[in-house]
Amino acid sequence: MSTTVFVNTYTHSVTYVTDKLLTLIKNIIRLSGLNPGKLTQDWEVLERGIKTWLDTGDLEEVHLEVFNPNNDKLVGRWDFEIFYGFSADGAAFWLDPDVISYYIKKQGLWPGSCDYRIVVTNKPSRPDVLGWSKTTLRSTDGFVKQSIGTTIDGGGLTAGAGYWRKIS
Amino acid sequence: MTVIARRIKATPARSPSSAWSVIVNLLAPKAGSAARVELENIAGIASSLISDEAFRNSPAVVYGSGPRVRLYCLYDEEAISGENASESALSFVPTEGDWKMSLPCLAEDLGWVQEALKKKSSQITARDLATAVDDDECEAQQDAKNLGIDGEAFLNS
Repeated sequence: MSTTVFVNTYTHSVTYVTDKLLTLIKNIIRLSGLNPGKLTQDWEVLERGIKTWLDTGDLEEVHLEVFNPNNDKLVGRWDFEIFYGFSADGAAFWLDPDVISYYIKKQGLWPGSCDYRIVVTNKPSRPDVLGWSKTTLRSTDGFVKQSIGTTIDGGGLTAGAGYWRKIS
Repeated sequence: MTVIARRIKATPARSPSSAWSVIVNLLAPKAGSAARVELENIAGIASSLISDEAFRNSPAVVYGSGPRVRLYCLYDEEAISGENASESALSFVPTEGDWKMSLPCLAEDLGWVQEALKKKSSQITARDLATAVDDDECEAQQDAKNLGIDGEAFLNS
């Protein structure tokens, strides 16, 4: 885990958390046995949406939803819940990718035939962003969520991670 | 061999895609040029590499017909203060004529990044960030250009 401390603005916090959220999601996709190439095709749209909604305070959660394209059923899901805060002087910026790696190893790889998408949950007041449309998350029936705590801190603006695993 | 370096402010001063836009403007300033389109086409892949901080100590390298250009990114305090940033326009267009670009990449991402780049570009490749761009590779391209037959002179001899 690397920590950096400096004088901060909220815009820096938003840029940092957006950047690290996408990096973590990319790493989860790769470590779970899927190809992050699809994520990079949409990188600018994803970055634009997450950054805009963090800036307005409307972003509640970012989800990486993994599904079976043959039956459209959920295979697994990662959630990043946003907690709004801000610290200007001596703000600590850090990312903890190791804890994510630990839980990915614990739950094992997803089948290579799985597909994935990024979905966000926003407050109803959120502004529209080019490239984004409304959707509904797949059912989590038969799954249980495990929270693993804060994984990104951008000077008080933080993201806590959790993942859904199938009840065995 | 002449080498020119630029250091571009990235996270948290700029998002990775904004940092890549600065790089594209430096390398291919002419709107609609083939090189600019090619660089813009790989924006998502390049942004993910910038986001991984692969550009921190290992540069993207552009080489070909002119001086070699090395592009680094600045992160954290350095990005905010901008003290070591150098983003001024180049006095030449590095993507005019024959050019290639090598992007630094984390070893664990190299496989899918190379595969994704291959689908989108014939000029831009990725290398393990622990590996320097081979001087011979750049010079071989320059030599190949210099050794081209001057058709007019040949026919006139």
